[in-house]
Amino acid sequence: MTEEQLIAACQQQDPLAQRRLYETHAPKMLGVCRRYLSRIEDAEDVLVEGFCKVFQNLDQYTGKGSFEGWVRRIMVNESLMFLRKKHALRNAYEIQEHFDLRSDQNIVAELAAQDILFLLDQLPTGYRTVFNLYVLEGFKHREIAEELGISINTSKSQLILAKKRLQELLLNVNYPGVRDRMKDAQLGK
Amino acid sequence: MAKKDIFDLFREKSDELEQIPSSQAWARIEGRIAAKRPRIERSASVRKLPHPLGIAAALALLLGLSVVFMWLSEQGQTGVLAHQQMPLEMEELQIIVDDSSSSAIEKAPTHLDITTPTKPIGEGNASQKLVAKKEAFQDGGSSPVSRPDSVDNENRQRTGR
Repeated sequence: MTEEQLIAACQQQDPLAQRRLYETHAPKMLGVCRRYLSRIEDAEDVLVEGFCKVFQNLDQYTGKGSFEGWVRRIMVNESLMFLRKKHALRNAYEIQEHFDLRSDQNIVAELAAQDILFLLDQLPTGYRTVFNLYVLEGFKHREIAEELGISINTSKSQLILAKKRLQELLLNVNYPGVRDRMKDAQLGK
Repeated sequence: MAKKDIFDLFREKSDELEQIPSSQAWARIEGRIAAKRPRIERSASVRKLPHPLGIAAALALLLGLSVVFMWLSEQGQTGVLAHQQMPLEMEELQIIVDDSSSSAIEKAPTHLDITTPTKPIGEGNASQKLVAKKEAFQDGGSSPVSRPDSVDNENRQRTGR
């Protein structure tokens, strides 16, 4: 069954097709939600809300653009809505000082996927959200500003601060041994 | 060691952040979307479940139709249909009267005046009343008996010319 046929069956409220569509996209979409939210329980709550909206609004998917991109956008919106409800985006502010980030400080060879989550979890919510939207979703600063209700300069400032913090984290954990340090940190807790 | 921007590094690895949701996640989703399935199926009239209001409406419609039907049947007994079938009823009622029971007379409609029938009683028993009606029919003009005569008279008149 092609993706178009699967979507059409879901639009006809076919339970088996809905289950299959969910199983196809759920793991990746939970990864998307998890990038925005530190707690896996919160990420799963958002995933549930997101998939309910996917099935309820499936008729609005016109076939233009990838279906995965459409679902992903819903998940991102739900994640942002969750953060707004928790007032987690209130502390975003615009920095006045200028950080000189030299390119040779941004050097790392490889990074394991799970290390990315560890590093993102170390960031404040504002940094993390702007970083996710700009770097991983491809949003422009203007779009981020509209989405989060902040100024464009605040969006830029948050991105710079996120990048700086991530560089520090990578240097401090002596990457590529970050995973070992992460395990040590978890054991220390 | 290859040099990469930290943004590129995150972009490359972010798609690998897949996690399997718990089994409760799908159960929660299905519980919510399944509750909305009947609304959509109702428009397609497939696997339609009877709604309490629908049942009430159907009963009300049935009751209304039965009342109308009963009213129409009453009208039919005393109305046009009754008038059309009056001769047949008279025959039947008169036969009953002649056979015996007085209880049947009491049940009979008064307007038929069964106790004192005028024409049929004077002509004999029940079987003869039917003959009397045929005579009444013959009085209308075109009787089968007189017809050959009239035809013959006409032929005679033609041949006489």
